[in-house]
Amino acid sequence: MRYDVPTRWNSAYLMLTRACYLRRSIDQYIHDQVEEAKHLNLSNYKISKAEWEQIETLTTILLPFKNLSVKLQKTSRPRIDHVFWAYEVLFNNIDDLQAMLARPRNHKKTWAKSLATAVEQMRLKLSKYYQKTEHPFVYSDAVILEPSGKLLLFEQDSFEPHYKGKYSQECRERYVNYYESMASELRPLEETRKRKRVDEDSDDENDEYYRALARAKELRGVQNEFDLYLSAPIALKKKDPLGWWKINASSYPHLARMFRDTFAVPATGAGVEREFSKSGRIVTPTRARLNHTTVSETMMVKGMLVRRMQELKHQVDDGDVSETDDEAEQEETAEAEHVLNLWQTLVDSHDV
Amino acid sequence: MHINCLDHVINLAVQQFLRSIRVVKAKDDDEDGDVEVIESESESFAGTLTKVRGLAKVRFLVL
Repeated sequence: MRYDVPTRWNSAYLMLTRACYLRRSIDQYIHDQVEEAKHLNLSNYKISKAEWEQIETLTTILLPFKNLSVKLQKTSRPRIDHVFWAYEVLFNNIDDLQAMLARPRNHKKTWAKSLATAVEQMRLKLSKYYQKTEHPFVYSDAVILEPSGKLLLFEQDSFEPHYKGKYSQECRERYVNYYESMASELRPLEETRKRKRVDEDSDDENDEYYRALARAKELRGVQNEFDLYLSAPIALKKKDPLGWWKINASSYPHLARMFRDTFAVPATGAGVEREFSKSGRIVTPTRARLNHTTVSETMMVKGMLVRRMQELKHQVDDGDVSETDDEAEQEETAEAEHVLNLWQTLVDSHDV
Repeated sequence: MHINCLDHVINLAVQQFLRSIRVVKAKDDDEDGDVEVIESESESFAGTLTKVRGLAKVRFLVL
């Protein structure tokens, strides 16, 4: 049997479901032991049919919240654009519960009224935190910058009509003020440390024709990247937004930077706390003076290796005992450089 | 700008529900200190959960 602990999430649900699973065994055990172990007063633990019904009702009520909580804790990258949708799911669940409790066959039950009151209290609590999502712009920006949705969520009935224009305008202003205006100082995201390929368009800046086109575009008021992104059709195929933006960063280089900054915010703290635990296994008491860059790069490489299911293989070269000191030193230097280049390549190629 | 952890929000909502039916004790260390406990018409839920917790604590209950 499981026991519910206030500090452990979903423990009440787990305790109740385990009790439901063991219902027949519990009833049989209490029935058998009541006479044999009177000193234990097990008759106090006898659960009636109505009480079992209450337990089953509670598990039904708590199940969707438990499922969503576990789902959010499981994922290593809880996406910030899912927050609005998660709230909508929770409120829909509460609506369904209230409709269920209002049915005639449930309405007559004595404990249905107390349940309905409790569900209403839960709704009020959830509403209090939902109202707090209006001010932080990261939620709405993340929804807009998600390529398979964009403004689609704000067109639903759960949002008032003015929110679509409001969030879109505010997101555009932030892009113009913080990302487009910094274009000349920032290196576009698609540039890497790899050697640039010789491109036949590399002389565009000096081409009189393209300069004339640029002047004409300015006079015409050509849309910026944000406008172009919104006017483009939404991505039809379900794809991870990180992958989509990695591919399309060349089309919207500055908006891609805004996406990266926005989606760096996690929706839950579970993934972040998991990373803290991993860092604790790297920064051990015997390695307490590690540089912060070393720690972060080690965590990224280990995470990359886990994702690719590889193992670092260390090959020991026995070498020739007759080598001179100079040759040995050169070989050590070459090997060290090789390892350093491999390390650098792995760090450069880690996922966003 | 403070971003509330969604998991914590779900947990707080569920805790409020359980407090309202007197399944858990009202605590004063709620995030904003505004604990609300509704006077339930019946104590049946609390009694039922007390029985289940008692069964979970029975050491010799091997099933």
